[in-house]
Amino acid sequence: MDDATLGLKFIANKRTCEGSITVSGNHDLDMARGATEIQRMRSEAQEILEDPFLVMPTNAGSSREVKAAASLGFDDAVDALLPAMQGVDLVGIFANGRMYRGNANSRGQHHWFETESHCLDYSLVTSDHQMVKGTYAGTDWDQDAYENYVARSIKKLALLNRKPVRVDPGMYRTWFEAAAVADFLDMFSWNGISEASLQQGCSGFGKMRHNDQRLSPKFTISEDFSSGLVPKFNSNGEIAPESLPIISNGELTNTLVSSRTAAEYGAPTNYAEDGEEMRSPTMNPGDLAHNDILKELEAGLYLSNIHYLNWSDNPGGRITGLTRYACFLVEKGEIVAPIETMRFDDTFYRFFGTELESIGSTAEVIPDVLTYGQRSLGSITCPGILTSEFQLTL
Amino acid sequence: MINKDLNQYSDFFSAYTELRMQENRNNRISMVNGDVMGNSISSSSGVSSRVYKEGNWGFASNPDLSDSAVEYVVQSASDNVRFMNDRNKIQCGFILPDTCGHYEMDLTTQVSRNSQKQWIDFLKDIDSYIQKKYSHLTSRTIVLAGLDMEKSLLTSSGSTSYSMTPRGIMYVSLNMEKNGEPVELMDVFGGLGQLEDHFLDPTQFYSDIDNLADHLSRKADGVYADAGTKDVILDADLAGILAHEAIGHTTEADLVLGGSVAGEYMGRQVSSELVTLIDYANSVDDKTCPVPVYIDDEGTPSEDTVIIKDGELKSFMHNKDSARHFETKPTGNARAYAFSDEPLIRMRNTAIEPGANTLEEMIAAIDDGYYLMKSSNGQADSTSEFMFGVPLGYEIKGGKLGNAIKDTTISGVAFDVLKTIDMISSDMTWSSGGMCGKKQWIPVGMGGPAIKCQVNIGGR
Repeated sequence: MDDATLGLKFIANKRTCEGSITVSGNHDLDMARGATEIQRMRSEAQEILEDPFLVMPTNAGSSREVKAAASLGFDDAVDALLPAMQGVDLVGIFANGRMYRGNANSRGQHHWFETESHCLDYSLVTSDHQMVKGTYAGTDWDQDAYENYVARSIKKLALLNRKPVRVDPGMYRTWFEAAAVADFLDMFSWNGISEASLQQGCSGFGKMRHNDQRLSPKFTISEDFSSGLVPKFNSNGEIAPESLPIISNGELTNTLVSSRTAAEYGAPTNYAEDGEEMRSPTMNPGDLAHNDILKELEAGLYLSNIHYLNWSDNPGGRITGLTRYACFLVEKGEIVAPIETMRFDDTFYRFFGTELESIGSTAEVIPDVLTYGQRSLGSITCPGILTSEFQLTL
Repeated sequence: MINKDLNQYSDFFSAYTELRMQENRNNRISMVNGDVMGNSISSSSGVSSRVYKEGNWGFASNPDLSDSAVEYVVQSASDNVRFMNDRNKIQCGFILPDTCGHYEMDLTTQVSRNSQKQWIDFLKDIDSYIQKKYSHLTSRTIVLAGLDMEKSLLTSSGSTSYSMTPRGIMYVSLNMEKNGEPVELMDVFGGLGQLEDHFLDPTQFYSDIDNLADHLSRKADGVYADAGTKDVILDADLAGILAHEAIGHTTEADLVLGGSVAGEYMGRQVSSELVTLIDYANSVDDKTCPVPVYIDDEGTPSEDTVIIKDGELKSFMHNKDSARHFETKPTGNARAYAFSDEPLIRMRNTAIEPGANTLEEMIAAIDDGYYLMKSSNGQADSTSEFMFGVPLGYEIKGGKLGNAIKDTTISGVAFDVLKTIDMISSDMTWSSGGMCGKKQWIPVGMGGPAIKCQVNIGGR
């Protein structure tokens, strides 16, 4: 599939109209559609209300970033993927190809970003419908690395064939793999570190802003574009800093501030996207070596994934969700058995704060695999974490 | 406007083929504290084709609607299935159920269309009403959102359909502060139809806003719910999301194949005998549902799917492929959101059938419990385990409504909760403000009567 969308923003007399159309690839047709759309907005802008927080586009310099990759060809993909999956029940989606973002404005500024990536998002399934979830993603295709990754999942699948145990609600010492930590961090983009959310009183970080509450000194996260996986320019063509610390050693140091929020609330912008969500969050690793995880955990839960997160108490930073996929009970430093699905409800002020015991020494890149409307560019880079307590509720 | 008649392209078909042309048009205006914060119109259009042969599927799409693009898309989908057939011969010989139907439905408004300025004036009127009457509010947000989904379909089995299914919605969210804590409440208005069909006169919504502001004020003075398993009444909004999220998804046949808990329950008693749960295709008692589907995106005439009948699990929702697998009839639940999306098994209008009780009788039957009215942040799992936010509810003490409660949550295992239902109200209310997400968005209808049951309620 080849899809392209052209988004247009028309600004005149402090009034703003936006529109978007599908680009067909037929130059004459697309130009005619675009011209019709601009004409509609030109007419509409005569009538509507002024935008009091309008930010005019500027020309702060153009950019061009093109990342080529040695990817799998369409004809080779199936033959490259299938052998590693033999003998197991696997369901998944493989997406591969180039993705583009461009931005231009009438002040003469042009940005272009182009990258090529692959992503295999899959579940391995036992005969009892227990699942191991995996996401193998990257730019250059590495057949050995892919086969090793799937082999590790298959090894984990064998553990799921043990009879699952039901654990009681309560507090558990818990190791979260990087994929689970990424799910928690993803919540920071929803009524989280957005300056507008904080100003409107609907952010879980209000306690850090107003009550001087802190997370663990071990916890540091920044918005970091140095990997080059996502463009630094936002949909308004503004360039974000290469790296912006958000929480440093447990202290809230910056929030994400779009130019519009800056105009409305007077905070200096750091050129966040309009929705002020994190585009390239990176959490610092710690010192817990992979081989020491089970020994350090000793007794508790080993959670590979968590599922379907939601704020249960946004101001309190409380998040609920399910333990899903490869989640295990650990005793005496050994995995004993998979656990039945449980609901958790706990606050990040505890699992990234008072109860954060140690952080894995290796950060993993967890890609955004959502496909609503288009493939996603983003990813979260983070390690696993060990917490001394985590609350299961149901 | 897309081409209504695709028959001219049937010569391109060489195997079982679906050809769909589609345009989605969105109009969205948001106003915060009287300022227009967003004003956008977007459209997405194109053609897609899906081909089935020897147990495999091939799919292709293209945003160009020209004749040559249609030919290219059908050819690409055919090439893709050939590619799969060369590598996967396990399902060779599988044949899809044959369905055929014809339907044309155009729900374009019959009144003249508004300009963006007229819509902004409409919102400004409502905002001014709120600002003048409820000046203590800390913020007010009003969003107007229109979606027109226009589709044409032709299948090699001879099915044809054209539909223009619009949805016009207005969200109103009010915020205030009490003792330094933010208190928020939102309501949704509108449904099937274009914006003009619902929102021509802003004064019609003043009483709804008064009602919302009254609930907000009571909630600000409200109490925390006592945590634990309680007798509750879930009003239509919550009963609907329970039916959709916690039961409906587990009975989508593709999720059954993926291991949902409902796979083990077919033919078994899964709820109180009072419960009949239906995914309505297009109408109930001759009244059109919020999301009417007459022919689905595989060309199957849509039928109501009776999921639970008198407490017994009777049917899953099917597309052609799952119907083949389960050796049953497709139910017309295959739906796609965008032209570039493949049809998936999706719900249409899912609700519990009304019962025989009045809401007053149900409240009177509870000595110590809660009347829970609105949902937020609903989620559920293929185990039917669920958690929903409850932004509006009231205590019930001695059979009478008491104080409002602050934000809380309910959770449990939906099939267990259904077994505790002992009263169902005789009325029926639909809501279609939400989008269901399953790798694609899709508008759905949810609702139903109020139900009396037992559920875990979160406390402070």
